[in-house]
Amino acid sequence: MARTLEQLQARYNSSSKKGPQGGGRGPHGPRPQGKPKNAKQTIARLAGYAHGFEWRFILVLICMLTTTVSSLIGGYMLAPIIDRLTVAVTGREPEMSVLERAADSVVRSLMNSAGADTTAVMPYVITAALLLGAIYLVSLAMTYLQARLMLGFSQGMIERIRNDLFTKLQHLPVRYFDGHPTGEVMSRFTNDVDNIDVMINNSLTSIISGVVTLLGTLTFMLTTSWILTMVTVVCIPLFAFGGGALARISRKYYSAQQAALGAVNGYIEENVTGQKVIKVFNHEDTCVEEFCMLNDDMRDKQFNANFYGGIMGPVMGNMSQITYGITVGVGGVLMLSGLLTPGGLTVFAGYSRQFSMPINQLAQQMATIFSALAGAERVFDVMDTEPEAKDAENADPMPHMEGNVVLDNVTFGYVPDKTILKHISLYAKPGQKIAFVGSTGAGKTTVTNLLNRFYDIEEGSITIDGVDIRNIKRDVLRENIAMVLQDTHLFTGTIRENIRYGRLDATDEEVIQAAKTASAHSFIMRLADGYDTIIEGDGANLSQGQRQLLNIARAAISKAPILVLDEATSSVDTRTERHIEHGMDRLMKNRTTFVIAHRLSTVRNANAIMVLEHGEIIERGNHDELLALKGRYYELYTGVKELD
Amino acid sequence: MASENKDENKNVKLPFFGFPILWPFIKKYKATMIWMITLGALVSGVDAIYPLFNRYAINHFIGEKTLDTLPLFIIGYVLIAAVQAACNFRNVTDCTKMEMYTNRDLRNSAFSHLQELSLSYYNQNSVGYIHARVMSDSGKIGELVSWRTMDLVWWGSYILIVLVVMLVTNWKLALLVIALLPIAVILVTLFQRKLLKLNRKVREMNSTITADINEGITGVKSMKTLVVEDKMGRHFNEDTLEMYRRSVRTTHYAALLTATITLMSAVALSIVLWKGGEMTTARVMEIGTMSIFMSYALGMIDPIQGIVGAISGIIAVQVNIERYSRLINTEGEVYDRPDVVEKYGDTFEPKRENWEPLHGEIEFKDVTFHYPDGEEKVLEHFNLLVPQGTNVAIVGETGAGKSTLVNLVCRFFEPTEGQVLIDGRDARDRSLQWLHSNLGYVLQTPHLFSGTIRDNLRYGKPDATDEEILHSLHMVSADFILDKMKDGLDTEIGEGGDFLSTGEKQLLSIARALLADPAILILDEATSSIDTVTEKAIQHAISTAIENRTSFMIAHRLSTIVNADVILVVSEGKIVERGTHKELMKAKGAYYELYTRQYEELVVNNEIG
Repeated sequence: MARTLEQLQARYNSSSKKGPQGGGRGPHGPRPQGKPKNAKQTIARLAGYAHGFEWRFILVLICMLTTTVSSLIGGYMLAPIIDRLTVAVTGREPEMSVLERAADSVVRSLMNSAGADTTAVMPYVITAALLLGAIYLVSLAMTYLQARLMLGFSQGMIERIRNDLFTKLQHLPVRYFDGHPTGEVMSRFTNDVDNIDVMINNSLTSIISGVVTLLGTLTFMLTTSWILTMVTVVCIPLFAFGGGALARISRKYYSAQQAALGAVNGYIEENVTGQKVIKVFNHEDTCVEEFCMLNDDMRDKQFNANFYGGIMGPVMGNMSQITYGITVGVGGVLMLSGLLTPGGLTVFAGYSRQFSMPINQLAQQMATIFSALAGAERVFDVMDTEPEAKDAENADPMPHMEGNVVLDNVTFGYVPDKTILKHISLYAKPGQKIAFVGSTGAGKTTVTNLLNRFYDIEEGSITIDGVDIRNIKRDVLRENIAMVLQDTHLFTGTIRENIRYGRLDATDEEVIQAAKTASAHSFIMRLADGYDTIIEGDGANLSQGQRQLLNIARAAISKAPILVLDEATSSVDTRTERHIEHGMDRLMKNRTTFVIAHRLSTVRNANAIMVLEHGEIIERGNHDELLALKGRYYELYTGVKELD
Repeated sequence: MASENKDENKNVKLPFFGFPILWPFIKKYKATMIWMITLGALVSGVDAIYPLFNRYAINHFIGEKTLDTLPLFIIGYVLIAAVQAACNFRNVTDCTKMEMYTNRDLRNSAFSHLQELSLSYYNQNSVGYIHARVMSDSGKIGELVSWRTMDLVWWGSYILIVLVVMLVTNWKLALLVIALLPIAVILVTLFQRKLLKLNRKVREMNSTITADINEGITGVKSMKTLVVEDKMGRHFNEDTLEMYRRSVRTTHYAALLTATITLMSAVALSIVLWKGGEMTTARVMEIGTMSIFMSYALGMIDPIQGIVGAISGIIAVQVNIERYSRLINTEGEVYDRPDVVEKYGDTFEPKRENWEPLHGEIEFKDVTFHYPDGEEKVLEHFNLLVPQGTNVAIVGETGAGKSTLVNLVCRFFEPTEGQVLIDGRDARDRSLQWLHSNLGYVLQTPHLFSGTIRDNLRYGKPDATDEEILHSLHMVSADFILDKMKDGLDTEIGEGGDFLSTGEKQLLSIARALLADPAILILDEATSSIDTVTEKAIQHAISTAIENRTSFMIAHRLSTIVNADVILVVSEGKIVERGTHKELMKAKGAYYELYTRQYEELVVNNEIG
């Protein structure tokens, strides 16, 4: 019983937004995304990134100018050659244009200085050809230089933008990431930066060279024959109009295609991940039926999008053939009436072909530039986000921390009006173990988020050794709190490096010692490259339990006086957990430890247990005291007995 | 991921460029393809002969100074341009059609084939990998049979026509120009190969940077707690610098390529000017002919680059063809014998009228089993009779191999040796579909599909009425979920049931399994913590569900385990003990140890959540 196409698309298309984000672009390069709000300001700011590259940019401009002009002149050199040959054949001296006479005289003066006979045909042709070759060589060298310089310029800028963005990223408050999903932030780096890259590298070049070529060609054309120039210019709107219309249609179909593609992607993804259920419920045939429906729809939309995209080139090609035909036709008439030389016509015909190119280019670049500027605005938007508050002027460097932690009347909520923690007060003396228990959402993890200042509190105070944590240098504070979280990230690099992240100056010996403490040594040794095994993609090649052991090792290597264990062993199997118990005891020794666990056995020997419920501490005391209280903790703990 | 990525860069050599593999897909569109090639060759040929018009114009209008034929000339020219435009239009249509239709067929075949593959394929390949086979490989092949082929035809025809025109008009000058061709081809090929390599390196660096950024975002909390921002920042700067270097290097070669190409044209042009000039002054050749040679010389590099590019494009797609054909040719490890298909039908055409009712007696008879991707025998000469209506609980540590028996009952895998008997007959004697239609499965991580609650519950019984659905929800005490939802059964529950808690999803998936009233029920209990209300509902649901049904439960809850008719204790992939709770406690073996060690944890986990 397959669903209808509309139902399917409505359901699966949304999932495409969650899809993997890469630097991937559609088959037609970056598509315009939004419009810049304040283009001028954005351009000025982008230009700021070119600081120090000014000379390079000026050189690029010079190169570009030289290249364009020399290739125009190079093309023009054909005119005197052809006319000279025509004279030789037909014996009639044609009326040359100003430019052609200039070129002619340059060739003649060159011949003069070489002592050759200026009236001979072949030496003339050869000299002109040599001159042409020389011009080409110059243009060649300049093209190369320009590409090199331009890339240095653009990549230099992009490198700066990327680095700036990354640095910024690291100093953004954790809160920022609550409101911005990974995919969205990623797209600033990938799509938006790539678009800027394309704009600087390609669009800028093609716009400048397009404008120069356009003006140059126009000048050359006008001096050759203004009548013919008019004819060519009249044909231009034809191009602009046709091209623009096609681009619009194609863009419309393109977004339809993207939607269809999203649906197909979402469908496959769900089909693969839910394959077991599909098999058990015998849904294979329905799936195939539904997939075919989505697939057919995608085919049709892709057809339209690609057809209008694909027809663009040929249409333009044909149009330029037609312009060419008209130019040659009218030019022929002009030539016979003596208004144009044969050579002039030849080069003119060439120019008329070239002429439409920069115009097309310019039209196409506008879309890219708009989308790049919009991207740049989003990038700058990230850069302008308020970073984590700076350390206070008189922030305490706290060279030695004891681990005396006091929370006094702390109230906090992630969003205004939604309090998570209410009036929490507690103290931990150095070396003590404080445990938090309570149901999900009670606010256990929030307490640890406040300790290391991922979030700053609104009411009350947190002090360490009597100093308010807002007055401690943030780096110092965090260095002094070792955290083992349920989902601590493993970085790309070797296992050794990952453990060493806990303390960057640790020796290899200490790394192994820490791994042993965390019971990670034995599994590490079983890996092919031992401690040098490369961890990829957040430890995808390790089991969840193994990753947690590495995180514990990371905490073990640090000398931080405060330790936070948030569900640190939730994914470690029970047998390993027993192994690790001893190591954990050593880990916690002489450190102020905060433990969050849902296995009650892990918290039993804590100095104090805080039972959290709806953001409040409803019971506190050690295990025995709390049992004697016969309250919530007792309920949690003794639920067991009734079942037995 | 890494190994999958490296796959992209592999050079694959297939016989006849993979054409025999693709033939079945192209066959359908033979006519379109022939039209595409013919018209493509024609259009490109016309492109190649445009300079002939030039020659005519120069020779007649300039050389002979008559305008007699001018109107005819213009009409002819415009006519040819118009015909070319029409052909072009048709050609692009054919080409796009070829691409999209082949692409669709490839995707359909891949998808349908995937439905027939056994679960082991899905276990061994990541979602991303499978997805790429269906989407990107098909896409690349679609491009190959259309635009890539077209490129080859286009430039091939162009070059051919140009050669013919040159040789016919002036063979001496033609030979001089043609002599340059091999050099140009070699140079372009060398450069392109180099550029391909360099571009690959840039792409690699690009993905490294993307990975860096991804890590910077997903690992932001860890980075901050470890205070390693500076280290990461330096690392990132190194990577962007390397990117800079590689890009510059690539541009260097790209610019050199452009320069070389321009140089080749210039050389060709100078040859034409020199020798052609001599010929013209000697009146051996007309100026118009010279103009043809000049245009060809100036534009000689496009076709060369085009054809080299087309060929390297075709070579690059070989790896996609190879991977695609590997998917299509992967045999499911579990399939029905021909005689079974004959009687019971297949996935797409089941013959339900021949299906016997399934009672639910299951017997493992001397079963030996190892997983296709492993050597170690998980079961050896295993025997177990499960009478109809028995509840079997399978217990053991994570990773001990508890799912093996379940996988065999569901026929996700077949025994390596021995038999699984269902109602006294070998499971392989009847069709997979028959078995699955009598089987309910509740997964540990319940998978719900995008759609409404009704759609999801009806998954196992497409014709279920709302009463039946409500009844099954009531049976598992899941009414409270419906009460919460404002649209009742019509509530959309996003991809994978996004707006429900794990416990609620599990309840719905139990209801889904019960709706079809299966004779056998498989239940993989969730280990994750669940809030108390839902937990109670689940416990109740499970006890209702297994009543009067043969059931296999991968159990974590004490209540489920203790009440089971048979408990199987699995350790390191082997079944080490079996019996009832009482028997096993008396035996003081592995179960006793596991029970006494874990029971506290288990219950505490469940209670606290």
